[in-house]
Amino acid sequence: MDAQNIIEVRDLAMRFGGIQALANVNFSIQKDSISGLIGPNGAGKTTVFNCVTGFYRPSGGTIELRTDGAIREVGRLLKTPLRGGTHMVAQAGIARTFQNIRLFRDMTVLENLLVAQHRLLNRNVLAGIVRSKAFRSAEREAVERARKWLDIVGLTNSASRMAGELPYGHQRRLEIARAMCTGPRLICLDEPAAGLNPRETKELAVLIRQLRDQHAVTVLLIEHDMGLVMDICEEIVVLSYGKVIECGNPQKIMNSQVVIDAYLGSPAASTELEAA
Amino acid sequence: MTRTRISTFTVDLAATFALAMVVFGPMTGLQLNGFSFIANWQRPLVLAVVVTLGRLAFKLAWGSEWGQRWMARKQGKALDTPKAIGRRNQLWMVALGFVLTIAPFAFEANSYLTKAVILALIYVLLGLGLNIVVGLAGLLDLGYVAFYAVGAYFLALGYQYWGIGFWTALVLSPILAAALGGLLAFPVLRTHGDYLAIVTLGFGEIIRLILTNWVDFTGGPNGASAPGPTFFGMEFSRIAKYGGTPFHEAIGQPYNPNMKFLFLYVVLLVVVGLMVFVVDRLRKMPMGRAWEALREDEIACRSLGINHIAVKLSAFMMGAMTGGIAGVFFASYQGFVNPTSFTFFESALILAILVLGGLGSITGVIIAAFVLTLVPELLRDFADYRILVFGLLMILMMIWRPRGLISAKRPIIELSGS
Repeated sequence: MDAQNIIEVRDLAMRFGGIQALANVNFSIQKDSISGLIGPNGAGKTTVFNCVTGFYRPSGGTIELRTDGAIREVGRLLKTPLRGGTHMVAQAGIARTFQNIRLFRDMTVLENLLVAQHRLLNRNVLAGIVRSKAFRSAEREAVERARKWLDIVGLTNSASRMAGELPYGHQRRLEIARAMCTGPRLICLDEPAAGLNPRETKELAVLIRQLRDQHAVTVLLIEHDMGLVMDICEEIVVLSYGKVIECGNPQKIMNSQVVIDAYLGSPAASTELEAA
Repeated sequence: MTRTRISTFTVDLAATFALAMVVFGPMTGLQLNGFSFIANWQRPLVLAVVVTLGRLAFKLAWGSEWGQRWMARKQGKALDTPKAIGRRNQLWMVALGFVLTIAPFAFEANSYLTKAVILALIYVLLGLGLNIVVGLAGLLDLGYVAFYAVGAYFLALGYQYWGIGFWTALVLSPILAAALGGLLAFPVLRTHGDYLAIVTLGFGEIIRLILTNWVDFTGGPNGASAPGPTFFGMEFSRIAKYGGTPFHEAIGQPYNPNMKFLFLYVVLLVVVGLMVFVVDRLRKMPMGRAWEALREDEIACRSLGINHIAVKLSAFMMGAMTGGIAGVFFASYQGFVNPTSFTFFESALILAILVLGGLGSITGVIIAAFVLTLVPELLRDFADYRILVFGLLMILMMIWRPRGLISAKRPIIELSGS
């Protein structure tokens, strides 16, 4: 379809035993956009994320990633014999953060960022043991890149602290920095503002815009903070009960009766309840 | 202010003394006499006083102006962006290495001590190897002794069937053990936590049962003999079995049965030194960092494009390699191997070394290996209660130092221009 789309999700279905978590989900995300995925609790937002980032193998449908001029299908990446797996999706340029922060808690902040650059480093064991010139320069570059991201998220002074002992808001920012250190084309943020105070949420909005404007990355986020979503997202996909019920710009979503019904319950449903 | 300081000081010293008595009391204070004990309170008392005095010296040093400055500097380092680890540590290492090298020569008459230290060093090697798998990669391996057995039997059987010598085995056994480690890793790759521990436990037992029951090939419970080390083809025996001159004739000295052990000790020391160096470097390399990241959070690792299967495989193989090398030294040191040396108890002992020393900490593992192998050797009288003391030590450790004697330090990388 559109060559400007970075992901193309077609007829995505996900079934856990008898539960149909997703059915016929269709949407696409434009390159260099900030898009939001919203919906009431249990709508299947995180399931979509897990499918897109390769943590789940969809029961049906396709997810095409169009990064770096290649078109790759997530299901096929997962099924590649021997080498296949979630990591190949990440290598295709999709990075993510998690709803419940998943940092390497007993490693330093800097090490967290270095692990993220694993694929960009000199991984030759012998070179590392003797500290060859090539190895040292690769490490130095990695530290520099990590430093750049620490500066961006404002954690430079905590570089040598354990990631697990950082304040909550800093951990959220560190997780974003870590995801960005993999050099992604698309970053998926799973509830980045959860647990942040209003000031931190504002800073987060600035950071997310900065990611897109200065670091050429497409942002897809799940968020419950409607203020934030309406503020920064250009495209919003609304899910409810595993189906896409609405797609469009914030203005359209805010005025959509279907969306309001999904969140607040429709008058028809409430009269049914009263009748019962 | 000073009053409370002095009282806490005294309480601290009293606690140190009491703890030292608890630890040393049963080990050194009870002497076996036939079927009963003789209580001998002088030895633990002396030991406890020494420990308490040491504690006092440390406390005073920390309290002094110089000590305070040193502590302040240490703490200053821990915050924000500290400097990279300096040369002072390396100097200490070199000094320690030097002392260890000449130590057994100073006690040449006491070959028993040399042998005990060799055994301790073998356990250091095993501890370092298992440290990679359990401490760094976080994969609980209860069958580690299998790789140790493979190394030992490789030397013994290789010698018996193909005439492989000590040095050939030392080079080839890590390859063989790593291959086996890779083979084991395959069924293990998709299991986590408890399941992984059970699978590895099974693997350890399978190897031991094969060694016991394949009588035609391995000699079964009777075991097999293993050759001693050679120095450029010169043997350390009284008469050269394979022609040539034995070592003592070549250097024009009278025959000394201890020579073999001294030589083995030096080689082992070099290998352990190398291993410490390698493991230390590994922690600062992408591979080692990936292991630790995997221990912390496998899902996050996958989301960063790290192939967790390859990372697990590499950890298992590196650990197995070290076990294989330790096995060769063990076989050569004993001159004989049989399956009873490779029971589950050995795996548990190595794991105890790790837990006691602190998972992931190299210094801790070295200290713990020496403590857990030398103390029982030096206090043979108390051998029956060894396991009891181990258990007690473990419980005390879990209460007071749940992260081991020396908890692992993170490698610090200096940021430029900050």
